[in-house]
Amino acid sequence: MDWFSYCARGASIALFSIMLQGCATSSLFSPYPSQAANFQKAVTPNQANPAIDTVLASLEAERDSADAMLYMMERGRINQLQSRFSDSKSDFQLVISNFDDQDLESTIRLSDTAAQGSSILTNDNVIPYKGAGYERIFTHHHQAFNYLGEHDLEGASVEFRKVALEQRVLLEKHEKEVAEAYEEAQEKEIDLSTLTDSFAGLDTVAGQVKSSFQNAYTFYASAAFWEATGELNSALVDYKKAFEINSDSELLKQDIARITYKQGSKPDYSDLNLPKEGQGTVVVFFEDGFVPAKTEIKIPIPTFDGGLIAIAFPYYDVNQWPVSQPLRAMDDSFNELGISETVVDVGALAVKDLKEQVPALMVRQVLRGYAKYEMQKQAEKQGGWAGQLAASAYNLISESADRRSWLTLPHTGQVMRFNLDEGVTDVSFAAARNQTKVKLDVKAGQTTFVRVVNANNSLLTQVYDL
Amino acid sequence: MKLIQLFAVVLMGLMLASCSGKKIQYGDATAVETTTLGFGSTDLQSIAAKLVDDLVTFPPIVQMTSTRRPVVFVDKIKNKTTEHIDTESITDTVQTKLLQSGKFRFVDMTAVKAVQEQLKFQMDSGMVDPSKAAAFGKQTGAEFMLYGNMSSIVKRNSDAQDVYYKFTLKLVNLESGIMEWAGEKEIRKTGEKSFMSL
Repeated sequence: MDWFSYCARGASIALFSIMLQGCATSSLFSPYPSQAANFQKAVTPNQANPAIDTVLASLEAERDSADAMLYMMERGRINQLQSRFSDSKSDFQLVISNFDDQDLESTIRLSDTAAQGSSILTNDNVIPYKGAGYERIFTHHHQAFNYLGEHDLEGASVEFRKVALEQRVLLEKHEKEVAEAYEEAQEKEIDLSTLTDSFAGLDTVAGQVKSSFQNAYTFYASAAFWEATGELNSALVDYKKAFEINSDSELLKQDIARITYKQGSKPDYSDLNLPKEGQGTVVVFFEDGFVPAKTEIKIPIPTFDGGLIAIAFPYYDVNQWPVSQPLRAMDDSFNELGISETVVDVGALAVKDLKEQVPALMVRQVLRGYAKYEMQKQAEKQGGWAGQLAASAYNLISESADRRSWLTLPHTGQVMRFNLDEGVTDVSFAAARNQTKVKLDVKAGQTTFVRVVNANNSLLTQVYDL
Repeated sequence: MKLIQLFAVVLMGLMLASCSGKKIQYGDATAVETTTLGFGSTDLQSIAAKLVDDLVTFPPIVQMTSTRRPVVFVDKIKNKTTEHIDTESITDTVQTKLLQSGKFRFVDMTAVKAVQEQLKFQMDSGMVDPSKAAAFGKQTGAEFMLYGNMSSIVKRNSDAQDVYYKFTLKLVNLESGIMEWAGEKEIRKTGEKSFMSL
């Protein structure tokens, strides 16, 4: 077989497998974080910004792409923060039905196998985006807020229950999956220690969270929702789950004590943060910054015959991360109402998730490294120096790490709770570098959710009346 | 080589054939539906059939409805599942079936506003013959209230999924507060992963 027909055959195999799995993804040769920079710009309080519509339209065009889940997560969040709740709902609906389909997907899917096959010749970005555990939890959390925005409390309650369900299910099946990945690496005789060293830098950040999806921020939101709607049992369970994750939180101690008191028992903590007669409660959800994107590192892997191949891995450069600051709330006579407490570091969840994927990633990457190395040797044999040059150039260009993840998510999720007298109050919120004022119409005995998002050097606020 | 070419042509043909055209047909509205594991038409129908049967054959109710048709008001059914289920549609079916059994009558709270407007029009607009106008304050109050809730338990692992639904319906005497009847319908559905698919 001559060099030309060899190439033609290789190309047709790649083409065929790409056909089988649907459209090729747009992150194949351009790294996802650079695309997502535009999406992040659309998270702004300036609703008249024409860039928002451009971004939303470009994301809409991806609704049928292989990475539709990823783009719809981004679109759903942008729409929600612009208070376009029904659009956001349909975006997240697509994500949710994709996640649900995955649950009952067959063990071997031919289109998946095709994607894995073409990933051997190109890179991991060919594999359709499947979403991480923490992203699934956040999807339902956001969907609940869409229902709240539409004043559909029953719809919101369904989504909050779904948040709890998914966290429980993930907990049950998670350990098994991680163990299976290690087994596969062992079967294929792939040495994971080369990687473990390179990824050791992530340990300090990954160590901050107990698991890659348990999220006290979403537990806090559902607990506050259950408390506001009078379902004290559910509220207590969710506050306690949030407390299990953040066991030194003063706020959560108050919350648990308050619910215990409301249920008629004597709490073992005296500060209850309870609204007085004629007061209403304000729960503030502060979402600071953007979750960091994955970077790329190249790791050299030795081949059978003593050569070296470079492999690109996704990585989090944790040393470059900004430190999240709390939010302060003040009334119009500058009395401090409260200061927010961080309950989730989404960055840490993402790092932990990546660490757990390392064994599976390693298996795919090493197989790909060998495949490309073999191709290079074949090309040299068939096409001489020209063939080798072409094959090496192809390897260099095609090798890029899978850097996809939901990037409009915040870096940290923080909460605060205070009580205000009935009536309209101007409340000022101040983050590290910017502040904003919100008019809150508080009703006695009722709860108001305020969401503050710190993005692109301004504070975006939303008020949800329960 | 010839064989391979032939095979390729056949494969191509099959691929093209699977993409072309839509097929639309009518089906039986009461046929068993198992498209997904979620709440579906079969569940709705079996819930309504079971609960209505239960209610109209319950001895004290049979006795009570033998001489008169009590007036019932249907409250909202609470959805406590992890799915967005239109519980109003379940109560509509239950209500229709009960009404058709000829044992109960209903006041429709969802139409109160429209009824009010119509009565106001008849009384105040001057366009309706006052002797034939329906008067305010003549409606019959409900004697019973029908209400309930629906909950679910979902279990899932890497091979299978199991959903359990429980639908509870209660009939309460509004004056005495006594619960005259309660019925329950349970549904269990399981789904297993297949080994291979496209």
